[in-house]
Amino acid sequence: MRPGRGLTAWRQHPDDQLRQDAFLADIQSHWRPTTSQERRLSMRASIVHGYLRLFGGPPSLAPAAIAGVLAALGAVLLPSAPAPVNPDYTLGPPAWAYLLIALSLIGLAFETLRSPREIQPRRYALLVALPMALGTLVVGFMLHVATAADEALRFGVPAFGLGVGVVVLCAAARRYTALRFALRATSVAFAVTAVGQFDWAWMYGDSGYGLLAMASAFTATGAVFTSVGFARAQLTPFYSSNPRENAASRS
Amino acid sequence: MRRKGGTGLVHNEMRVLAASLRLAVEGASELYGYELFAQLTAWEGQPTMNHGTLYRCLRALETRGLYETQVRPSSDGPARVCYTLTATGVESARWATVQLAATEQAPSWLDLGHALPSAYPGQVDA
Repeated sequence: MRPGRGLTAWRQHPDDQLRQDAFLADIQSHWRPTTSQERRLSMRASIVHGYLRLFGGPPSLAPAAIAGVLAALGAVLLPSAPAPVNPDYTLGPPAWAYLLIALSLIGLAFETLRSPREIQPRRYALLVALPMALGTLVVGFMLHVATAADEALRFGVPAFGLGVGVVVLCAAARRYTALRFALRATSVAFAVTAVGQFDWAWMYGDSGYGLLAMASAFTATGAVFTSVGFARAQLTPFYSSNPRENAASRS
Repeated sequence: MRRKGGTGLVHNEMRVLAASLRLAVEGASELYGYELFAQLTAWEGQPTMNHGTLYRCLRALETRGLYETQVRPSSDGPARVCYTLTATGVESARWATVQLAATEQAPSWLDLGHALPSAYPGQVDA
């Protein structure tokens, strides 16, 4: 069965949805809450049913949707905040590299919101992987390394950029075991980036650079959520408009 | 919610299993969601489990292979989902009945006799 498109992909498996609809129809055809206690009970039941509709399925990339926006905000703020006088705090890479990363993170959020259980190779490559790989490689090579946090970032940032590229390549090649491995490895790279950024948030905050501390904290929090999303996601194969490709992917 | 060691069942799942076993012993081996909800409410005097929680329990137990489900079209309304205890489900329901009976908050409708293999022999050899 073709997985849901757009926001329908947030919901549970279509078979589960059918069962839940049948269950609810059975209840609603026999039971109407009349007392205030029953109405409260009915309200609680609606919350549980709504939760199951939204999250009743295997983990998706959903955390990356919020994370993308947070991290993009941080990536824009980092080069635009007033620069500290301390040379150890120099960023190094040009602002356009951070802008590319921010754009790719917005692309990640958009794509994740659109279909959190599948990766569409072409859209992901254009909106996420290419700008992210370019931006993160530039940041990785040009980062001014002065602290242990920078060492973490010098490894973590290009690693997640490349990782997302490999994820897209695996999705395009329909190598689902490799895709799972790439997702988990990229999750580690995001976690390492989060460690480096949290350290910087602490150092900036300690030195009175509030805006930079906030930017680093946003980026770090975003990296944590993305790491969680990539670590847990169980994706559905991408279904092509070509039925023969779909048959090949299922075999 | 704490899961009971060994079986991984939570309290509500055990209640649903025990209620299903009682209904099976009384002759209703095929259950519908409303039937279970209504019976639990009738036995306990007031609704103590909302039907969302009941559905979640049934879904979790089905995933563990304790129930079989079948969506049946209905001539006079929407399709209904029918739940049947599997052989493993019957064994787990017996265990749940005994465990619940041993707790301080044992449901008043619980009957330990239902946990005896002779009470519901239909599924023993399944």
